Amino acid sequence: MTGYLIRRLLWIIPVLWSITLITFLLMHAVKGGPFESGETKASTAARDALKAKYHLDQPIWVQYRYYMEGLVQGDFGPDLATQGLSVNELLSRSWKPTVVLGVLTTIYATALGISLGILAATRRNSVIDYLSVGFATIGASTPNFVLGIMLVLVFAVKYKLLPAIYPSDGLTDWHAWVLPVIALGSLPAAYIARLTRASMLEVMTQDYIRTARAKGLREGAIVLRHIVRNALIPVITAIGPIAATLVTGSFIIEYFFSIPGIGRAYVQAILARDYPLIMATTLLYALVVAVANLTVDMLYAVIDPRIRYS
Amino acid sequence: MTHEAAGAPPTTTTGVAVLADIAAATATRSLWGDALHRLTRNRLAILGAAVIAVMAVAAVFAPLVSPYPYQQIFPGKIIADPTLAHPFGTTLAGQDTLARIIYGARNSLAVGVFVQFIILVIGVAVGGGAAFGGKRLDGLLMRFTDIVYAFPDLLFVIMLQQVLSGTRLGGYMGGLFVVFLAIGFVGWVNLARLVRGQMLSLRERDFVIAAEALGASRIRIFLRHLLPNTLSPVIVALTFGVPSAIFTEATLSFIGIGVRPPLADWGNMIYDGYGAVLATPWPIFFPALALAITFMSFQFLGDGLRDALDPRTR
Repeated sequence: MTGYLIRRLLWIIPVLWSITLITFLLMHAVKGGPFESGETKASTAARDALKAKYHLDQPIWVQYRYYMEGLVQGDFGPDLATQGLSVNELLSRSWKPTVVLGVLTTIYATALGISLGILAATRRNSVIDYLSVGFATIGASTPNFVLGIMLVLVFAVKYKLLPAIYPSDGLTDWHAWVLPVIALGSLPAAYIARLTRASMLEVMTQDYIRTARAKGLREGAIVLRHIVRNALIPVITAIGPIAATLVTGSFIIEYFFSIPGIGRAYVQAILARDYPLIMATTLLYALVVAVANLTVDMLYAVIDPRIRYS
Repeated sequence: MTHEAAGAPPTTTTGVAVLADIAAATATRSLWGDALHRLTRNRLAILGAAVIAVMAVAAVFAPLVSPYPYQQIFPGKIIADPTLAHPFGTTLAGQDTLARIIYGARNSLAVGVFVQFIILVIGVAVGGGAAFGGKRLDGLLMRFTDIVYAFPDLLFVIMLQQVLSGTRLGGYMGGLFVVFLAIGFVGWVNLARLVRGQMLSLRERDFVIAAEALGASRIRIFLRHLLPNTLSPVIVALTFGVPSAIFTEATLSFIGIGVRPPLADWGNMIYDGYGAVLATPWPIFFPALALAITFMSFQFLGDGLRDALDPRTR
């Protein structure tokens, strides 16, 4: 198990390195550089000076070497759009809102999805079952930006209970997070609910559940210790990729609610051809995806003792 | 066989007759006929298929079905509420919402179909190549798959879209073609893994080993046994992939990447309607409803196909 973990961790390094290479090539294939847009109205001489300063006049492989030399020392390079700030400084400002949003949304989606799934399966064909299946169907077919619009209309515009736009002290103000978390988390919650319900129903037909009933266990103990525990294995494997897409896919919600997170920075960076910032955000996200998948594989082994990695 | 004979009633002739009947009944239906039979009994799946069919017809014959051309502007009718003349109301630019939804269905369905086609080609090539190309190719292809998998997909789609729209492909189909390519190039990973896993496990199954022992050629085993048995999960995966590609495209056009006005697109209609949302909800309501109905229809059809093609998993 430890050997497997170490090998998986080491494997992340070549993956991330390939991503720097692919991203670097792709970025430079995009027409137009950071100093060629209309935003910075610099003279030709000044533009050349800027290009020289950031090595943009060098061949691409030289630029890549400069970049990688900085990266292995933990330096993501200068931010070309703001000029003066480094990407590290920029990221240290914007990672917190993204992490808070990702963590809160994952908790919301998992808690809501699993509870609804368990409720629906244990009370099959009841009103509760139909309601939660209905929620799962409608929730899964509403894009998060549409849900965001509806939530803002009702709770921010009509009843003025919650802010439609991220307030300046948003990190410590719970009001700021309610709408973004619901908007972002309801689709995965619906998916998790569906998955939990299907998995519960399948486990309930197993022989060991009949045995547990036959030996006179209380219903609560059967549901919690036998059914739920076994039914959650496929659900947990699904939560890893879901958590990863929640973090990396949150940019649309960050953009919509004006949350100053990494996702919003990424979209702005792409539109401004801000190479170092694009590279840094892509790498961070790739790291999140890799770690999320690894964590799930490890959790999988903890929950299900039949699974052994070698 | 002996098991059934032992359990059969003393009048063995009727037992044999029943067995023959069962054999005759199953022989008339192939694997696919059987699946079709199961599918047609699933009401939700049929409903989904019917909705998709209606949408497809409306999209293909949009000029005939649509009450107005999608770009026609009605002066003085800006964000008008639904009326008889404009059953879904009008947009912020004064265009008929119904007409734009019908033309927008073209984009959404095209994205759904073309993206899945790209995913099918790359996914089967990589997955099949990994399963059959020997150990070395397998290692190489799966490492490559790992790397693509680690890319944050929606962000990678945006980057690819930006790269590709600078090329000559950029103007093709109003920018939509580039969106197909970008979503397709990122989305094949899961299908490749599915195909590889399925083929590897099938190769160990008794009926494939039996075919090998009987001297069937590699090509025959691939075409007769592996491909048909891999096809069902692939069809199901592609069906579920359609709505998620449609969502991705709508998301991109909502943030202003991809299809641009005056072309009609559900995502940019929602974005457009958001500008007037305090005045009226209708310009957002109808395209959002169209998206939701499309998504649900493909979901129901996918569920039905999964149950029909693989009766063991329910």
